[in-house]
Amino acid sequence: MAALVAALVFGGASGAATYWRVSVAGSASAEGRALTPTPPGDVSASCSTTTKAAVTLTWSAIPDASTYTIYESKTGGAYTAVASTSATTWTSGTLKKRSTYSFEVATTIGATWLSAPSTPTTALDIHGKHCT
Amino acid sequence: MAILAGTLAAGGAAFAASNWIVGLNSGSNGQGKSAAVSNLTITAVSSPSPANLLYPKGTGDVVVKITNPNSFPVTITKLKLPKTTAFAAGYTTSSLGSTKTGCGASKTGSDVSWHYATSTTGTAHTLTTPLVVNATGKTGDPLSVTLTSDAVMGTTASATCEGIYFKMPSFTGVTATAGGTSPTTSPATDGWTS
Repeated sequence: MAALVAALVFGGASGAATYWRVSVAGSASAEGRALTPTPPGDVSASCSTTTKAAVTLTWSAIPDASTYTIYESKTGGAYTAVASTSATTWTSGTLKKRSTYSFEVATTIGATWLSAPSTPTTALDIHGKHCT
Repeated sequence: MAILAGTLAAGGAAFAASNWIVGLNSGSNGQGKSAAVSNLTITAVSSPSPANLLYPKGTGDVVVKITNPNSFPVTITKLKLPKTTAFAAGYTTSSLGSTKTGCGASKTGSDVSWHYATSTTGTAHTLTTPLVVNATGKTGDPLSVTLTSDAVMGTTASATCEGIYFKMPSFTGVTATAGGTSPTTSPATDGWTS
């Protein structure tokens, strides 16, 4: 608890306001809280309409996000970071044929505050030069 | 105008109540009045929850509870801040019981300080709306106040500070007057913008 020591400086004529100058003894503080970065909750993956054998991800913006990190899993393997963007859409390069890909997206706040990854997207298959 | 000089009668240890007995200075016209004033207290609290949370390069809300032990209302118009290098400490819970490792009161820890603080200690910042803390025991005392966007987090804040609580560095003073016709309703929202 904090104590404020009041030093009465002057009072006016009868009936006038009395003014204080107040200094602090001890800790007169306030409480705040930091946010916890959250991943996008609506990441969707679809076959790219502009690049063959590629995938486009879209998601809704997260307030105060600086960038988003995209993680890729090929044919059930571990997710690894493959790109970073400040936009809310991202298109892969040409993916390896006869493979299945799914993705996750994480939010970065500032330079280093990284969220957990999003829920993985539905897996998409790459057949030859096509995506389904 | 009557000039009253404040004289500290009994200053207790930190946090103890201290009464001030006021006498007349030379030159006063005898119309002044004596007064015994007890301390206000300001406490860091977590309720109501701040709407704006801190993040690197962002501002956030902080919450205080102001208690007036006097039998008359008090109107607070300004708060005085420590210098900008005074940082908040991070805590793991809203009760501020345990500090958070890696998120200490430093630039490389929390990097949280008062918004608009300067390199000088004690700069006064005018509240958008004066706060009238009602007389002790009456509605509006204690007064919970959310200070909107008056804490700021720098770019070097440690990632260990994610989602945790902060105890801001102490105010260095307030400017207040005795009295006030319309006590502020608790909880209130206020702050300074420069």
